[in-house]
Amino acid sequence: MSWQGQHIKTLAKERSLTLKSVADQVGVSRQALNDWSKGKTPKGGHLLRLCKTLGVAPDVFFESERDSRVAVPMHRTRKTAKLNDSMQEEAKELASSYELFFREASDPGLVQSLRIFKKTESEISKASFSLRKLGGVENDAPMNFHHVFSLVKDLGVNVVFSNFHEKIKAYAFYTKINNHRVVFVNFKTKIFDLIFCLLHEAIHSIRDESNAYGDSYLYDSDEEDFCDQIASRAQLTDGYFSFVLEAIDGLSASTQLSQLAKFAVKNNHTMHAIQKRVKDKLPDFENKIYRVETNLRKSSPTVREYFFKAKDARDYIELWKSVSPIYLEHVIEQSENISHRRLCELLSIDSELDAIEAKAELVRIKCEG
Amino acid sequence: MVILCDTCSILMLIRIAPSMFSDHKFRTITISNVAREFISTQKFKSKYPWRSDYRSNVVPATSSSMQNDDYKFFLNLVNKMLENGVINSKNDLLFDLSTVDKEVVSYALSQGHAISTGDQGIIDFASQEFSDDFKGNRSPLELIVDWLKMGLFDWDDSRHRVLAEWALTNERPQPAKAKGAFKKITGRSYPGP
Repeated sequence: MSWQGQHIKTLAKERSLTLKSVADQVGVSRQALNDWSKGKTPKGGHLLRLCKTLGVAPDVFFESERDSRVAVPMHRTRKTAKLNDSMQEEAKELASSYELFFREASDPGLVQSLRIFKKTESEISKASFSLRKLGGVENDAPMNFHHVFSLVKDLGVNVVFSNFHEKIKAYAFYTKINNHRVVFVNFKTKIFDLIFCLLHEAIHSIRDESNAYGDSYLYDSDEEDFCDQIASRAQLTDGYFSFVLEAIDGLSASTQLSQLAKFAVKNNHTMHAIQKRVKDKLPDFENKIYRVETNLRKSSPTVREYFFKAKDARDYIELWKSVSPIYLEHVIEQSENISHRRLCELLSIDSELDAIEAKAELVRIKCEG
Repeated sequence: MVILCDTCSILMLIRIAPSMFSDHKFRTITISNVAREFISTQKFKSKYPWRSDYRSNVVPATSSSMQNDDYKFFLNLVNKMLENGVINSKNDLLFDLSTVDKEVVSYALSQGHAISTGDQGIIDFASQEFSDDFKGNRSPLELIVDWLKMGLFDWDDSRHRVLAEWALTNERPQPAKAKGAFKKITGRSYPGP
């Protein structure tokens, strides 16, 4: 938003009002009106009377700059849900509600980017290897929650967990708000989808720095596949799959399937990930693999249930710190100035009473430096 | 009229004046989002076990009063101003109010009501930007004093016990002037902070 005071003169003229009479009706000096015309924003009460005098809505005096401050690229949807305008609008709405917060947040400084223009196999390998290294994953171990949270922290990504509007049919989505990298994650996202989707969105965030998306804010399927492949290989190496295949070798098909499900649950990945990477080396499970996945999904806890079970405000803050340290740091920075209800929104706290305790804890952390 | 903006204010007052939202003499109202929080927050069940007894007493202002043009105008104005960025002159930081905070401020301004909140950000925003229109903030103890002055109830031991609990539940301090007025009317000292 930016104040468009220059409209005052035009509007007054259209209504055959002199600036002196407008000033009188608003209850200010002619000079004050002049200052507003030149760019000074009036106080709310004066703006109210100015709108009433000129018979216009406040919108007339504000120009939206939202798009330049909040970029919400079009993103892939959950399962087969279709991408549509209302989903995009809701996602923008959610991101925009954090615009002021990130305007006040300290500058993110230098952050890593991923400059890949040729989407070749070797670039995918290199990128996934770098991400694993940055996340501190050793050998062929599957990436776990600790790794992925550490990785997104190092990439300067603010992870914001919140309850998505039902129209936002996505597990997570990446946005850029006032130069801050932000990945919104739906609290309802199942835990075994989390690592992959966080990786996928984090890769969008580091691709964004290299202008891979230009001004279109639209990820084409090529780009989505490319990010998928890096995310998949960063999460699970070929070595891991060799180990899995070796472990199920010689077992009956149904036992293989149940063993694969155990691997998926233990290492927080989907059956789909297995199917996609080593389909050729598995027996033909037909649709059974997806039936197993559906059952796993049903029993998998949501992100909220898994990460945010806290007895009190202090514990709750600790949980946020463990999953999203960069974002929490910004909340701590602004804690003294945030209203309790705003804190409820920023940290998805259920009640204002808990927010009072949470705020006290955040201010305490801030004071302790 | 005074809009009770916080669930904690409602929790503080509802046992003292259970009919504060239904009897217009109390001149207090709340909005639906605040009432919803009072009613639906699971945690209150254990922390304030008596809460359930008062659920039906917390009746919000009718939704039509939050649909009229005046209210919509104020909400639009407040939203636009905040999106543009309003600096709090007390600390040089931007005001960043929640959706419910914005609703409360807009409703208070459009109806000419005062508010009751412990949240300084809302008070600062309304008094800085709408000094001529904002009817001010009333603390829970000030409201009790108002009600006593109007003779809406007599002060008795059971009400005083509730007040004593405010200290135990660590409620925010009340204005010294209200404490003085309370003692003058009831003959008892305010037991809280």
